[in-house]
Amino acid sequence: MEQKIYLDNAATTPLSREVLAEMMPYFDTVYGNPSSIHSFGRDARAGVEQARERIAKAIGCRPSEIYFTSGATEANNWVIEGIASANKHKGNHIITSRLEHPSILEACKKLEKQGFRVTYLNADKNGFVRIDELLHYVCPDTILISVMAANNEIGTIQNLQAIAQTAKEKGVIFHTDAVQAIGAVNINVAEMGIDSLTLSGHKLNGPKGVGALYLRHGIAISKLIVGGEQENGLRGGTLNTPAIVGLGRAVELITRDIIINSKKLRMLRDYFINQVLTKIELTQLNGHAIQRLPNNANIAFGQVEGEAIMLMLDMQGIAVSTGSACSSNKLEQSHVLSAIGLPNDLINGSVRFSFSLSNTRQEVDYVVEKLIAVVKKLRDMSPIAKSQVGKGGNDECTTRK
Amino acid sequence: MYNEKVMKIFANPKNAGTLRGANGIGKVGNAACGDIMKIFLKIEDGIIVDAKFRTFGCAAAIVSSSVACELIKGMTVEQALGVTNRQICEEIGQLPSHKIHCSVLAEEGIAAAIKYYRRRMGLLEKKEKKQEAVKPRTLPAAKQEFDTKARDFSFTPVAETEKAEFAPAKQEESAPAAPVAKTSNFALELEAEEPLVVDLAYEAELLYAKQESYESKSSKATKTTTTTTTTTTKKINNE
Repeated sequence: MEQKIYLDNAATTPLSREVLAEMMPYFDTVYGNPSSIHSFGRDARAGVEQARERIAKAIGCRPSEIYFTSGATEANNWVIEGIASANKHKGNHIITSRLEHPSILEACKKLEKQGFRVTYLNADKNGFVRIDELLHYVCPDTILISVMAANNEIGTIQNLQAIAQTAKEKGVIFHTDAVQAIGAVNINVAEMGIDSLTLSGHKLNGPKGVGALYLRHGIAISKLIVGGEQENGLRGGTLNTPAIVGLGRAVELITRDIIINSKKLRMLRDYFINQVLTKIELTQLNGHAIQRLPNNANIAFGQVEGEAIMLMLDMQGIAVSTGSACSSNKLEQSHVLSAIGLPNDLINGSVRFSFSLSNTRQEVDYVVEKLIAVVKKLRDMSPIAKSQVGKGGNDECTTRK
Repeated sequence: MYNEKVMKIFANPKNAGTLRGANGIGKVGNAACGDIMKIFLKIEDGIIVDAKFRTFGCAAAIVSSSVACELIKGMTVEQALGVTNRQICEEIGQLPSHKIHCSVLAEEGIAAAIKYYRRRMGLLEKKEKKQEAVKPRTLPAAKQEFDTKARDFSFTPVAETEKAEFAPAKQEESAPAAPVAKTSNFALELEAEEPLVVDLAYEAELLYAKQESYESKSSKATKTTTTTTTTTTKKINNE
């Protein structure tokens, strides 16, 4: 009778029943192609348009400013490359941060090869981008600023409005990756002055394989997929009707209950953080203590390695994730934790716990109890002395790989 | 991603911990790689009677070090040096391809521990020294550079024999295996709360006798080497 506890809700979330119920008819009953003009098509179209309206209402934009994609990765790639290539005549400079999701960073690197100039903003130790640094780098040929609303690893919520206002004053397009922030913080793109925003279905108890891009009217973007008239001709391909309907419902639900849900999550998260930090020595919280995602707790454990903790917890039925180099196939440690200046040994000893409303205090107690045992077991075989914790330095790895 | 055998060993690794009375200690890897491995060997009459490890790292690293310790127990020093990472991998079953370096680390850990042991013993029995089995990947240019540097400092006859030994040892610094100098220092820097691993008084005595001072001089001036070769200036008094 092993207890199963899922604490990796920042990776993905289960589909909520309400969302599933809303999606079901679109698999078999309402099967028309939304692009068709007959009644079958019109019924499907109605579902898609309803989803568009729901998302627009949730983030405060017009329905026609929403474009559906296969996910936030696609949307982020599209924004960076699409806006850059469509605004080439205005300039060739892009500003982003070192904390971004790889879907932004890799797209920027690709643009660098094409001759664009990209500035990667640093972050302070809490994971905030500094406005003065942003102002310092903005220049007349800057065409795009992209900073994520809330970080997926350390959970720090950026001062989004301040960044958006800065971009607005300087007349630069501002994009934000709000995959984690939707449902955790109130976002109103019109009020905040956000020009472009991406979100994803599966982080909001919605279906996987669907995401959306909000792009303010009047911003030029190049086509992503050609060969279809869908989504204003910018992204061709038959729409994934059930997933889009599910996304619409999921966004609606999560923004509707945002205040009560985030309060509950915040209490659970703070309870967990307090328990861990007081009961296990040589631990620290990564990211800002207050201005962070309600469900995110990223903790660095001294002397031990994250993947080992993750696997040992997995044996006890507890699912978490880690920023350690070992856990990634590329054997690179978390770029976010490096960006906030964490020493190497703590980067590799960082574990992310992300909660959902279905987690209980009893579960948290159980996890803490197991965590204490696992950390003790691993510390007993650690070669790092207590006094050496946090002195891992930031030197390069020299091991043959 | 890991097979069942790996997970089974990982759940209950053998040979974890500090070995009391170890006379060979090797530390390899660094925090940037996510793996630090420390191997303790107890060698009696050229036979490894006990081996333990302390590893900071993922499951693959912990399992590799556990299996490596198990493998080399009862082997002679020479046999243990012959253990390759492939052997360790075979013992485990299979490691994911991006985790193979963990088994390499175990191989290097053993080599580093044995090297440490030999250096210590080498002082007492000079014959042992010739069996320097860990062959450094010497770059011809680097070696030459060392020799010229070495000539600048007048070496005593004793140092002349030492030089042959220490040239390769220092070359190793660019290689992943733990630098010998660091290893021996590490033994001294052991935490007070940790059980004493080696006879510290004995160790200190040895070090004092040798009066080694490794001063790394970066070879920026010479463009002959690509690796950061450090040269040593030392005065060795054999009392």
